[in-house]
Amino acid sequence: MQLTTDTVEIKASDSRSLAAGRGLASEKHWSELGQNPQALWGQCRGSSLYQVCVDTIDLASRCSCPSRKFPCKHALGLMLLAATSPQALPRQDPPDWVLDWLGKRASKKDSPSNQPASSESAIPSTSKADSASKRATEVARGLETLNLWMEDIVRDGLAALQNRKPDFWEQQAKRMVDFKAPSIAARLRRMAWMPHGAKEWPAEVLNEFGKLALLSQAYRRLDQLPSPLQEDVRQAIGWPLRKDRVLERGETVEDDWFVIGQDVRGEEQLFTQRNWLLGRRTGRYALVLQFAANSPRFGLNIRPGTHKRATLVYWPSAFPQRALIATSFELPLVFEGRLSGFHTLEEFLDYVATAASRQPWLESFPCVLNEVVPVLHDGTWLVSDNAGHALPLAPEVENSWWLLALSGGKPLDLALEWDGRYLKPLSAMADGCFFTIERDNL
Amino acid sequence: MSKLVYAALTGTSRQPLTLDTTPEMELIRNMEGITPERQLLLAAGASALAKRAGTQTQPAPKVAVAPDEALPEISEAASALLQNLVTKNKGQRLLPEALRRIRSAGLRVPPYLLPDLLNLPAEDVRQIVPYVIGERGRWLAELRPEWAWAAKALSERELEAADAQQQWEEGTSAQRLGALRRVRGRDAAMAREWIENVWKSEKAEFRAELVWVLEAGLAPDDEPFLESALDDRARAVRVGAAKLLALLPNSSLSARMRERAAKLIASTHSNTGNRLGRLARAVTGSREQLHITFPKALDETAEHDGLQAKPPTSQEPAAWWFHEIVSRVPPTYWEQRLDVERERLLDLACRNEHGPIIIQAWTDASFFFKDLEWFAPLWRVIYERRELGSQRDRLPALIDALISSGNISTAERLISERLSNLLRGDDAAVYQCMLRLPTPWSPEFSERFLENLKQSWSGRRQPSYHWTYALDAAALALHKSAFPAALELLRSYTDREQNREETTVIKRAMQDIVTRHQIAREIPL
Repeated sequence: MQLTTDTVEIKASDSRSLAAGRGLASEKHWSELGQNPQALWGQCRGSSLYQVCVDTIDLASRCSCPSRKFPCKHALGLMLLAATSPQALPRQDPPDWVLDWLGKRASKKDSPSNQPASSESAIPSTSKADSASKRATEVARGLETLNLWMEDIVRDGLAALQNRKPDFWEQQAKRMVDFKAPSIAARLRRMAWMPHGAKEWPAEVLNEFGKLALLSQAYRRLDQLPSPLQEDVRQAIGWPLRKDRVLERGETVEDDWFVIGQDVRGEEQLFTQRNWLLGRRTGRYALVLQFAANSPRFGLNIRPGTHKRATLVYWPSAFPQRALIATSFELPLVFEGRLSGFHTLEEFLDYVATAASRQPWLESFPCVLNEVVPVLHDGTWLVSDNAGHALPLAPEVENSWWLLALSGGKPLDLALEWDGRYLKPLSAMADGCFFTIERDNL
Repeated sequence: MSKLVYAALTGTSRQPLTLDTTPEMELIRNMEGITPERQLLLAAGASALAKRAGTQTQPAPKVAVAPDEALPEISEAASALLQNLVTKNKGQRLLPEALRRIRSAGLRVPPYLLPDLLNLPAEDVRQIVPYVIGERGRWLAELRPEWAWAAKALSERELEAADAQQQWEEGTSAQRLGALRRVRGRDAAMAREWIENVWKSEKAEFRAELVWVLEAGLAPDDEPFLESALDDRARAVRVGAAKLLALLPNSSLSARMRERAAKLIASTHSNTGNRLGRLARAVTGSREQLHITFPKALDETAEHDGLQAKPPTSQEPAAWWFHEIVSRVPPTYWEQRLDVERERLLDLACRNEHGPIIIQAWTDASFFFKDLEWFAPLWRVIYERRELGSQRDRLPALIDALISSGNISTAERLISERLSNLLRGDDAAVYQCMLRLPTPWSPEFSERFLENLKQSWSGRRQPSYHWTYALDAAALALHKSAFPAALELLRSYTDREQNREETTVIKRAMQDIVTRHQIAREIPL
C-alpha cells in the first residue's frame, strides 16, 4: 500500500499544522533522508536542525522539536514529501537514532492499562452481585413485555404494521432501554422502516421477530444453558461482559494476526469500527470493535493489510468471535505472501453451519476465500469458486466492477463478510498486493 | 410465500396455523402452555436459523477471462502518481498529459486504476484513455454499458485497417465515408469512380458528404463530375460542388469567378507599367490607392456558380455580393493582378474607406484557399488596426489555420511578440490565441513567456483579469526545459507577494509544474 497525501491529511490534528507541514514538504528543507519498510526519516532545517522519523505502518512520529502537537509540522512535512516524491527518500539502513526509537516502540506494549477507555463498549454494565441480579429481573420483565407485544402483532396480522407510524416502534424500543436491553432496542429501531421497504418485508419482519422470540425463550432457561452460550444470550440482549472480566475468563490466543477488513458505521453520535482479523497459524477469525463518540477517531490505529504478533482474548461464547487485543509485540508488518482461507464455498458454508448451530445469534461470518472469481451473470453479481459453485456478492455496483477489473476473470483471494444473504467484500489480494475496499457507511 | 409468513401476515386470529412435521417443529408443538402466537414466533425463529445454517450455493456460471496483456505496465511510482491525479479534482487537469506520455511510451495502467479512469467524464481525458487501458481495460469496457464508449473508440480504429471495399459496400454511413476517404488517399480517380457509381441511388445528405470527399486530392480530373453536380436537386450538393470548383485554379468556374472579381478591385496608380513608373511608385508610394466598385447586380450564371444572391438579413446587397465574389478568389490573385506585393496590398486596403469589407473578404478567401502566406500578415493587420476591431474574433481562427498548416513557429512568434499586452495589459485576443497553441509549448515560446512574465511583475498593482488565467494555462503548457526557471521565478514572487489572490494562483501554478515534472520523470519516453 502506498502512502498517499490523503492518509497524511487525515493524520494531521489541525489545519494549521497541516498547512505548515505542506510548507515543509519539499526536498530543500531536508537532509539525511531515507526509508526502509518500517520507517521514514530525515533531518529538517527549521529554526534549528530537527531529527524526524515516522513509523510507516501506524504513522506514529517522533521529532526532536519542542512542539506538543502529534504529528508535528516536521513529521507532516516528511510524510507529505514521502507521499508525493517517494524517490527523494532512498532505501537504506536506518541510522542509529532511528533504530533506537523503533526499538523503544517495540518494547512498549499495548498493555491493558494503556488501552484508552474509548475502546471499551460504550454500554455501561455492572459487575456487582446484587445489581446484577436486579438487572436480570429487569431484563426478564422486559422480555416478557416484548413477547406480549409481538404476540399481539402476530394475532392481528403483520399487514397492519404498514399503517403504524415509526412512533409505534420507538415506544417499544424505549421500553426495552428502560428494561436494560439496549441491543434489542436497537433491533426494533432498525425494524421500523421494514414495512415500508422491500416487497419481501413480511418475511424479513417475521425473521426478526422469530430471532427475538428465540432469544427470550433462551433467556427464560438461561441457567440451564452452558455458560458460554449464556454470555451469547446476554450479549444479544445488550448486556455484554466488561473488559476486565473478559481478560479473566476469555480464551487467550496468541498468533500472527492479519487485519483482513474494516468498516466504520455511524449511528446517533456513536461511531463503531469493526475490524476482522485472521490468525495465520491458528486459522481463527476474530472481530475487534472500537467505539468513538462524535467523530470517527479511534484509540488504536488498526490498518487493514497489516499483521502483527499479538495476544487476543475472546469474549466467552459458544462460538467465539468478538475479541479484544490484550498485548501486541513488535511492530505491524505489511502483507506479504498468501493468506490461507477456505478453498471452496462449500467448505465455508460448513463453517457457517457449525457456527450457527452453536451460537444462533451470530449476525455475520468472515472468511478469506482462496482462488475465487467475481462474475456478473444476468445482471447479478456472484462469487464463484473452482468447484463450480457460487454465492451472491453484495449489490454494490462500483465495488463489484472494481473487483472484476482486478480479477480479469482470473481467480484471486478475497476477504469477505457473509450476512446470510450476501458476501460483502472487505479486501482483495492480487498480483502480490493487498487492496482494501473503502466503504462509506457513515 | 411460506406458510408461516402467510399465517403471520393474515393473523392467527383469522387463520389458525398448523406446523410442519419436521423435528424442530415437533419440538415446538410439544412445548406446553404456549399460545398459538408464540408457537408461530418460535417456529419462525427456528425456520430462520435453519435457513441460515443450511444456505445452499448456486451453480457457478461460465466465467469469461480477459485476454493477456500485450503492453508492459507503468512503474509502481507512476501508478501512485496517477492514482493521486485521478482521485483528486485538482489533479485531473494534468491527466491528459500523463496519459499521453503513457501512450507514447507504449505502456498501460495497472488494473486497479481501470474503473476510476473509465468513470472520468472529461472529453479530453476520454480521447486518450482507450489507448492506455490495455487488453483488460478493453475487455471490461465491452462488458459494461457505461464504459462502452472506450470499447467503441478502439473498435473504430481497428475498422480502419479492414477491407475498404467491403466497408464501402456494407458498412454504416460513417464507415463508408471513412473507407472512401482512405481510398481517395491512395487512388483519387478510383474514389471518384466509386462515387459516380452510386451517385443516383444515394440520399441528398449523403451525396453532399460524398462531394466533400473530393476535397482531398482535388484535381482537374474531378471537374466534369463536379460540373454535373452543380445541377443537383439538393442545394447542399450544389454549394459544395461550386466551392470545390472554385478551388480548382483551371476550372471554368474559377475563371468566371476571377472575371467577376477583376471588376471589383483596381489600383489607381498611373497605368504606366514601365520601369520609370514603377520607380516613381516605389518612391512616392503614398499616391497609390485601391479603387472599389461594388457590383450593382449578379450576372445570370452567378447563382449556378454557387454564389448566394440573397444577402442575409440586415446586410446591404452590394456589400454582400462584393464579399461573396472576392472570397471565392484566392488572395494571391490580387498580388498578380494589381502587381502589388502582399504587405502593401493590406496597407492599401486599410487606407481605403471600405477597408473592413475588403479585409473580411480576403480573410475568408485565405481560409477557403488555404493561402498560407496570407495568414500571418492578415493576423497582424487585424490585430493592429483599430478600425478592424469587429474582426478581432477571427484572430484565433487564423492561429488555428497557421497551426494546421504546420506553421507553428510563425503562430508562436505572432503571439510571443505581444505577450506583454496580455500580461501587462489585459488583451483577451492574445490570450485566446495563446490557448490555441499546441501543448506543450516549444522551448523558445516558453522562454519568451517567462521573460514577459518577469517584466510584467514590476510596476503592476493588481493582477489583470487575464494575467491569472494566462499563468494557469502556462503552468500546464510550459515546456519541461523551462520548469526550473519557472519555479525559480514563481518562488521569488511568493516571497514578495502580499496579495492573496495572486499567491493562490502562483502556488497552484507551482504545484502543477512540480507534478508535471514528476510525470515526466516517472513516465520517460
